[in-house]
Amino acid sequence: MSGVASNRRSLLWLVLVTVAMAVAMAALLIYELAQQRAIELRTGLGTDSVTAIAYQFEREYSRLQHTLELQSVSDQPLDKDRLSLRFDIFLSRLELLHNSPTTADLVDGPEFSQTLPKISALSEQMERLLAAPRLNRAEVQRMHVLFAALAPDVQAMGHAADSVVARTVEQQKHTMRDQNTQIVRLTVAQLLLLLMAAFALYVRHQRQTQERRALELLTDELREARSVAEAANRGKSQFLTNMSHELRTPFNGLLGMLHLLEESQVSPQQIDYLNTAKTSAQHLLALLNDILDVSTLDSGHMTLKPERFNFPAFVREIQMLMAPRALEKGLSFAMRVDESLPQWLHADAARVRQILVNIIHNAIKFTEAGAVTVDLAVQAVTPQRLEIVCAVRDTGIGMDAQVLAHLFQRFYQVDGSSTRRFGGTGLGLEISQSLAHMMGGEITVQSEAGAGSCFTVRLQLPLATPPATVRVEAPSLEGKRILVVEDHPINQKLIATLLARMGCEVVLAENGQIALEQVQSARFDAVLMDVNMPVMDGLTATRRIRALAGPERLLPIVVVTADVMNDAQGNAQAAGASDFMSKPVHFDQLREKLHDLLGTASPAATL
Amino acid sequence: MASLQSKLLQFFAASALAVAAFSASALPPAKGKVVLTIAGKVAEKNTPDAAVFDVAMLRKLPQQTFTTMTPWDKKPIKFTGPLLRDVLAAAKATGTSIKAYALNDYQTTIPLDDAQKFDVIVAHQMNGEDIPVRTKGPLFIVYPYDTKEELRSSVYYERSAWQLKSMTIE
Repeated sequence: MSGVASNRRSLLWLVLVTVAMAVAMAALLIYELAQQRAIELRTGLGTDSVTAIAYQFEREYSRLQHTLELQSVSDQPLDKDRLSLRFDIFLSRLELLHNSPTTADLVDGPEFSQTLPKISALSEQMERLLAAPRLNRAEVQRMHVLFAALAPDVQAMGHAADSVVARTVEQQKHTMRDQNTQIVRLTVAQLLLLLMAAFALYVRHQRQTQERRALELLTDELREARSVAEAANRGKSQFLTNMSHELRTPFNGLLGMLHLLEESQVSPQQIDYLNTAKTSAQHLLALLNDILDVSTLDSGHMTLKPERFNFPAFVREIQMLMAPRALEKGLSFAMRVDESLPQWLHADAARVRQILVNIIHNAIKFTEAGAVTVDLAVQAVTPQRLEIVCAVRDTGIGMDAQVLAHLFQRFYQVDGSSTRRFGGTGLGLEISQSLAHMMGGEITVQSEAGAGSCFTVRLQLPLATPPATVRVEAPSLEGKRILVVEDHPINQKLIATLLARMGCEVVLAENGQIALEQVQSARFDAVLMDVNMPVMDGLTATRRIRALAGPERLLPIVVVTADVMNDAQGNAQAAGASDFMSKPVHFDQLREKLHDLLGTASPAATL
Repeated sequence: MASLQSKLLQFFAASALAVAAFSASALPPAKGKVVLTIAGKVAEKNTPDAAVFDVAMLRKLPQQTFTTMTPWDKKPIKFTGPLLRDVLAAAKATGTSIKAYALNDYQTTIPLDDAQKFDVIVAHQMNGEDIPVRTKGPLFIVYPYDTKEELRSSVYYERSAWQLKSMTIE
């Protein structure tokens, strides 16, 4: 702020100085022009200087006097013409003296003003002399004497003329000197102003340099701060990834074991305990998944994995999932579906499910009595793209304007107490909205406090061509030898148990190195390969197996990992894996994968 | 019609002859008072060593009139007289420069080119009246100062001899 003000002030100074200089120069110019004009006026146009005219006059006077002298000598002939000519010339010089503009000052002086009348008188006498038909010598003599008598006065006129000229020259010298002094003064003033201006500019330049340096410093600091922030962000993301991996592994085990326990013989009370445990675990897992999703969205690494899926089946799934929850609370649940539902869509079914489940779950959660209805409609946007419009209406507590405004914000919940009442992480809607945006759509809400809400989910999804072949009856997995490469004992147990249930024969390997040896020494039908293991990790082992010479290099390898960062699948594919599964492993998913891989009998199936 | 035409023809013929005659014929002797003597490199002489003119002879030549400001007067003056080049032609002057003398022995040198370059006249009338000796008469070499800026300089003012008496062609 102060920098701007001082900048403006120095600029103002600069402007003032420039204006002052311009004014000074203008004044100088006007002054010089005036002086020049004055000099011109004074010196006049012609070459007939005062001196020349005065001298000429004096000379003709003396020549006239001389002619009179000659003609007054008795033995010389009288030449009237000659005298007349001389007199005429003299008169012309007298006339010049009177009439020249340059002699105006001179004629006013005492010498001239006293002598000139006397000369006029003499001239008149000469005229009379010359008017007579013949010259009279006596008269001529008399004229000569008179003219000679006046000669000194005429000489004095000459001197006066000289002094006038001298004074004029002196005056001009003084004027010139004055003018020069003025010029020097003005020039010095200009010089000073120039120096001041230069100094002001210099000061300004210095200040600007300082400011620029400060700015550069600030930019560096900002850059530094930004890289620190980015590093912190990366660190956080990395931390979350690591944590999620670490957390999911025990979960894998926990949920799996609970599931197995459920299947074994337990008393009704134990079943009750189990259900509670399962609910808690599932809740915790949901939380974990939410946190991971938010973190992925934050870091911008969230990508969708679109796949072909059967839409009607998908819808039925959701209905089967959500209806029981609604009915539990005594609410009626209805899912109305457009007749023109497409058969096959190409989208990330898991994420679509995530959104719809989140919305419908909220509707059920916040409704005490009444109904939850889901209306599913479809519109064609282009021949290849559809807009799925899913409207979820409930007769729940509804929301007022303030709640609506903050609805999709992170951690926002209706009120603090509702956490106790309704549970939830406060992350669900934010995730759903972000996912909807990624699928070319959005979630909008209409609600009235006490009257219920209507959430509308719009998604733009491309149509998919139906699969070429219908799946044949799945071959049995009985007796298939599966190599399970896994270092964690709990996970080993879990997968082994699942496979045993399918009727497979299981061989365990603790790390990639052992797996590599195993495949070369025994025959297997498939390999389930974990990624993070000591000695040799799963991807390296996969690569090494693929690099083998024998038929074992064509083994179907399914990479199984808790790592859900989005390159995991890509990396597995790059290493040569046949398929990919993420932990926790579901029984059905595992069975289906194995059916796919072993049923077609071609090992390196495309993912 | 025919008579008018023939009359005009006669007139033109006569004047052409007169001009031709005058310039082609020898310079007549001066009848009146001699006002201008041209000596030096002149081919057409009417006295043993010079070509002399009286006012009448100068009036016979084609006359020029112009009004101009001069440095010798506050008001502009109307000058009348023959062109200097016509006067020189009448005397058949050849050479490169003219030395002009005035009655009071003032001398000045005029390059012969000036007579060709500029419309310099030998004025014998100022403001319609003959110039008396008591002012600048009888003859005054005048340049048309107002027509060109270069003429308004001391060089040409010095060549403007008044009370012109004679010219010597060199």
